Amino acid sequence: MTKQLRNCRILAHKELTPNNLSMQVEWLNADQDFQPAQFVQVETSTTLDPLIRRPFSIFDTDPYSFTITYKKIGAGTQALSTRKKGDTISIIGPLGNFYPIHKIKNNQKVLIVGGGTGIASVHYLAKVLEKKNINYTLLIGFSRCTDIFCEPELQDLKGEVIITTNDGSKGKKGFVTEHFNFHDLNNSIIFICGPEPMTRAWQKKSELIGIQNYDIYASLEEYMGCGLGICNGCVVKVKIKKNDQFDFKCVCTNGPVFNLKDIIWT
Amino acid sequence: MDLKTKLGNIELQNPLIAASGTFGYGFEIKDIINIEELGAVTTKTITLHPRLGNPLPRILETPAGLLNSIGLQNPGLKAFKKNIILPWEKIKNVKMFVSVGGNDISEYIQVIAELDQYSRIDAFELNISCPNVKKGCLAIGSNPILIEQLITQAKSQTKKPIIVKISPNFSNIIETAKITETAGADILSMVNTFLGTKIDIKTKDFYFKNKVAGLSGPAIKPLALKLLVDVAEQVKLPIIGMGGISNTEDVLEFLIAGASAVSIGTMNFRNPKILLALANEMKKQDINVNEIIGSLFNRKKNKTLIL
Repeated sequence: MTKQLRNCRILAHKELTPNNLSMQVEWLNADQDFQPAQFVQVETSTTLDPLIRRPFSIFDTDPYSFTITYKKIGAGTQALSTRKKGDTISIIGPLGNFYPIHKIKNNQKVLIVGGGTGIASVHYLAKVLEKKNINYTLLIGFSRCTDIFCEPELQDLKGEVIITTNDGSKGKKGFVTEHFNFHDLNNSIIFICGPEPMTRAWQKKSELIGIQNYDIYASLEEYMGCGLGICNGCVVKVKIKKNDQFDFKCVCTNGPVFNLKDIIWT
Repeated sequence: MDLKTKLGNIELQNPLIAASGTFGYGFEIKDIINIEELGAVTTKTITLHPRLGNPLPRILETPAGLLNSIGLQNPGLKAFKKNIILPWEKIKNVKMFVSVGGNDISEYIQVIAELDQYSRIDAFELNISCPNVKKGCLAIGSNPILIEQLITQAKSQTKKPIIVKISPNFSNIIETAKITETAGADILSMVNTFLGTKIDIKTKDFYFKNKVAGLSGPAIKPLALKLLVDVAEQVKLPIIGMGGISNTEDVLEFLIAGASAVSIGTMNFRNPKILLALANEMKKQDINVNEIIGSLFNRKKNKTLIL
């Protein structure tokens, strides 16, 4: 599916928790057009302030729409929260690459890890894996129980879902990294999306324990200017395999999914 | 009404140009906008050697604006010749302006010398105004002697028109424009981003590693327009006007103020179709481009414009 700029109708716009919202947007064949980890660039405001679009990962799709979830934290999401059901909203998508589901080998365990706003793409990944009859474990972290904006959707998932909260108000207490036996990573493929500290902690812990035989793919979040690979604003440092050098790659077009082993954190 | 216009000796099918650095090499958004219908595309600044660009963070939104500290990340001349020129051969109607940067004059000249052979390239734009790199660019653009040397040497390497993109960050922009004209440049392009900064109140330090960044977007439009008026009155060179243009009224203001064509920059990020939308809107409004260009001064002929 090539990227398109469309004016779309907002089919539903709901407050899930006091600061978390979901928006369902009309898009014919969205379930075929969007892959897990892909995102849309949304014109949040009808005025020039906020100026630039905001990227949102796909939380779910059906044959006629996609849904994004977001937290009201800044000017962009504040503007977005005022848009009404029935309004037209400008969308660019689908953008970016996606979790390499095709790399899952027959006997490989699949672990999905999500936290914060990264929950959108891992939720969609879990749903897509279910359609393909691939088993998975979903490990998902929130700050506190009041942040769990998608409890019904998580309950609807058929795979194993482990919820953690930093304050212990729901599920297991602590960070997701504290509730996983890293030795189980042998012969597994991991898909991860969340705040940078979470992704870094996961990478560090798996390296410390010295697990060798696993693949790990992270969908990264970065402040974006265009989302189209033009402005070079959202780059990450990536190792170049041939030597010790690195290159800056755009999260929007070279990613958002990278092999985590290639990422050099700055 | 036909939007055809002339920028020096270059015929444009309309006066709408994609600004360097905001349109990639033209292919990144070809799925969204038919670039064949634009006046010209100015490609992302190319340098002799690949450049990695600046460390993060590189961009920050401000009210109706965008601060950037990209640092001319680009794949270098060799990759440009290998990957960009050939696909451009298939594009017929839109003019191709190649933005050139360098650490010193010899690097600019080497790039131009090697690219001069390609008939597809319609003009070179000398970027002497990027505020985000330590060597070259603004260091040349702030020095009249170097500006003159660069333009003279560039003209000796190519018969293609030389566009010079100047900075708004000096008090003597009229002088800079005049030097550009005297040195033999064909077209003036103005302005690049305004220097700005941001302080992180948590770390009590600069937000950008480079300390400063370039401000673009609708926030700078009145500033850029004022500089255009100043320069257009004093200089005969055709001018590509730019700086925060976001709608048809803005385009008309710049044309009336003396720009022969306009570039759209940051607004391409907001609306990648904006260049076409503006062209269509101008056609719909039946605007006679050639009649309005510079009309601010024609009307005030023999009067000193006091601003």
